[in-house]
Amino acid sequence: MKTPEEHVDGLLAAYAVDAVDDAERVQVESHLTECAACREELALYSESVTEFSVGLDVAPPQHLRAQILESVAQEAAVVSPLATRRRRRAQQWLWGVAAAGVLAVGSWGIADVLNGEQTSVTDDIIQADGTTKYSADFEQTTLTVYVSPTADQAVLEAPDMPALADGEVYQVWFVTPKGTVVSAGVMPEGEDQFVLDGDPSAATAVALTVEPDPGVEQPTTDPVAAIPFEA
Amino acid sequence: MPEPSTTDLAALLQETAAQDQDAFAQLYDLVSPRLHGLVIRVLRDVAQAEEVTQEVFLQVWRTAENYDPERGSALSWLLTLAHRRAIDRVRSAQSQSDRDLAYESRADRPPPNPTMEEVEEKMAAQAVRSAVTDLGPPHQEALELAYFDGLTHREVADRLGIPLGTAKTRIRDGLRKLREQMGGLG
Repeated sequence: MKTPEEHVDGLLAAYAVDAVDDAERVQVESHLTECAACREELALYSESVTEFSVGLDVAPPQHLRAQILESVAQEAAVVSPLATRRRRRAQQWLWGVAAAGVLAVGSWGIADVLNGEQTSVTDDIIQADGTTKYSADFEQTTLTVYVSPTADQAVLEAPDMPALADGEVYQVWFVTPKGTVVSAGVMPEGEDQFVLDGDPSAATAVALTVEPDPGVEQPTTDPVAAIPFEA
Repeated sequence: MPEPSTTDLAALLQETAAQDQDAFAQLYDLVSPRLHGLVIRVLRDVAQAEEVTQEVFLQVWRTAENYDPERGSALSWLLTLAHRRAIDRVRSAQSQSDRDLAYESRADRPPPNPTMEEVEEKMAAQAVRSAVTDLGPPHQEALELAYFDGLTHREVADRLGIPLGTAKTRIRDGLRKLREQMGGLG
């Protein structure tokens, strides 16, 4: 029988200091799921590794603390109720729109055909007197939702979104205080602004998930971003 | 700063996993200097380090529930998260500069910016007290190239002109010696 250090080509210690390439990392992690001896050995290596950062303490600047706590508070306001709710009772999500059989999935194909009209509706909402604007940072960009003065239409502005893998899309959702989640459409590729599908009046936030093209009836992953409707 | 006790950190991580923002803030106050110092040491760039530290703590918030006390201490879990993010950043920057200039060596990287001075001082102070320096040159060298410079074991072997198996052995034996010495220090 091999000793743990002979498992996975003797890569365990190298893995503990991140001195492996991506393929080796996968190899080691896959082995760890099935080898208790290596998990124990790794825990010991990892304890030793903590010694390297002894005495290097540098307090981050205060503004970083504020930014991080702010981001967390924003996520907690929307993302965590979503995630918690889904873990607890995945099947019981309230899908009013789905139940009514009028899901928005695929509607952007139509929007493409009506592109001229689409653009002017976008401008109308953004430029109208009394339009409310909500923003949230996401990766290197800022997401902005414009809600029309009558609160019956909304525009999402999402420039420079991180590229997705082939076959993946960003899907937008309206979220209500009760945890109801309704599709607001799939982001059309290459457009920075677009009218969200559906009525934002009952929503307290817009959330984004990454889904398989051409979109899904209910989110299959946790949101990657959320824009709470609060000043 | 006194070392936060292991149980404190583990408890705070569990509360963070339960979406407790106060616990997360306490956790941040306890470990952010340690994590940020490590990230700066690896990246050698204060501005980039701040970005990475921010990413690390958001990841802590999102994935605290993945922490498994049976697989190690909370501190080691947190440091692993921070180190991996920092290394990923170094490697992607490195592959970029490899494309730009195939023969550029890491030794030719621009000198650290002025705010690095604080870190350099810490490093000098650390040299006096850390068990790492008691390892002896072969082990210390291999481990520091891997841990601080982000080299893979293959790159460590190339850099030191030693066989791959020797590089792996030095990393492994170095960590074991370190464990023995830490036991002695405690």
